[in-house]
This record gives sequence, C-alpha cells and structure tokens, in this order.
Amino acid sequence: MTGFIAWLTSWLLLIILLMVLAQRSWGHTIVYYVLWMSVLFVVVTQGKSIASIFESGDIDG
Amino acid sequence: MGKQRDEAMATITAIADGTTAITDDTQTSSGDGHPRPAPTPEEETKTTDGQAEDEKPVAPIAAPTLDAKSLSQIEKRTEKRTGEPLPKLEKQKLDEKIASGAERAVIQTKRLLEKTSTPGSITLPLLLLALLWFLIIPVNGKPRIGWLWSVIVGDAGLQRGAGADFGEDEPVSATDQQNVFVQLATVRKDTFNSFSEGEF
Repeated sequence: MTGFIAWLTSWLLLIILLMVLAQRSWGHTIVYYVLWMSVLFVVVTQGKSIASIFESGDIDG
Repeated sequence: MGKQRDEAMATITAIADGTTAITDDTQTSSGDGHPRPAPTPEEETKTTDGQAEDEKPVAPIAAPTLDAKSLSQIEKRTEKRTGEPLPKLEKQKLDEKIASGAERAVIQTKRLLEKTSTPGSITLPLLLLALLWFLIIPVNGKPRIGWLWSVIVGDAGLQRGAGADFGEDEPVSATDQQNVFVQLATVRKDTFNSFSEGEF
C-alpha cells in the first residue's frame, strides 16, 4: 500500500507543480515546451507501435 | 595591531563606499616622499593667506568603483596581511553583491522565458499525450484501448492467480493494484482455446 501511495502522491505533486507553473507568465513557457518534449519523446520511443497502425494484415491475422 | 587593522578596514570601507576620495599626497609633501610636519600657527596663517598665489588646490582623484572581484581581492590581501579574518561587515557586503548578481540572472531568465513565443496552447500537447497514452503505447502487447475492447467483448478480465489475489481474507497488495493492466493481460483460458481452435 505504501508503494501505491508514493506512486499516486508523486503524480499528484507533478500535476500540481505543472498547474502552478502554467499560471505564471514565465512558467507557462516551461510547461508548454515540457509537454511538447514529452510528445516528441513518446513518438520517438513508440515509433514502432505508431508505424504498425499503417501496416496492413493485422486485422485478418 | 588591532588598531592598525581597524584603521585599514575603515579606509577600505570608505573607499568602497565612495565616501572618501583618494588624494595625491606627493604634491603636499616636502619632496622626499614624507609628508610635511604639522605647520606652526604662523605658517598656517601664511599658507591660508598665500594659497591663492603660491599653490593651487589639489583636485581629488575620484575613488574607483569596486566590483565584487576587486573587493574580494582586497579582502583576501587584507586577511593575509593581518592574519585575521575580516569583520563580518565586509563579508556581508560581498555576499550582497554576489546575491544581487544572481538575482539579476534570475530576472533576465524570467524575461527571456516571457518573451519566448508559445504558439497555440497547452491543450494541444496535453491532448496528444493523452491520445498516445491511450491509443498507441502498448501494455503487455496491446494498447489500453485494445485491452478495454477485450474486456468489453469478454476476451479478457481480472482473474485470480495471475499475480493478483482478490481473496476476501487477504488484502490486495499495492503492486497488484498498480498493475491493473497486468491483471487485464490474463486472457481467459477458454478464449485462448477458442482462439487456437480458429474460432476467430
């Protein structure tokens, strides 16, 4: 249970931090670019999965 | 020793503050490098009266402005000469100068961030991340939407014995609660059998 609480608290803290930062004029820029960098990171690391969408033959097996 | 040091420190402080100007003593000395002895009352009167004719008043040389580095050097030299650490006042002044520099750097960074353009809004990357998380990122071979579909059609579900324990007498562990998708990954045996038999 301790692990779960730590996991949940970490996510909540991160979200709160981002929300507070986004309220500031200078923090907004940080949050904006951090989010875009996250999108880029996911696209790069999950490129294979994204590419598989465009591959044919998976539905029929 | 202590008195001399105090005097030296007072002079340095006065120069650093700009309250004291450095003057050229050689022009008022007798020529051998030593300052003149204190004048007698007669001499003093004479000098005061004849100053406009004989000697022009010496213009004071403006005290140089000290930056943090120079101040630090003076501080080190004085400490070395006197063999004692400087009083707190000088250290505090130096710290203040450094702090003001750091503060300036912070303000400049903030201004730069404010000036940087952010086309669109935060919503777009957030939405994209959510979509990628739900539709693309695979968990145990399928994206989350894939597992959701499997659960809806009855191909997958939470099951005992797959690293999870849902018994009433034993509490569910934290790891099991976190890895809900690991539990979802347990494909029912009958589904697997029917899949292998070519029903799909």
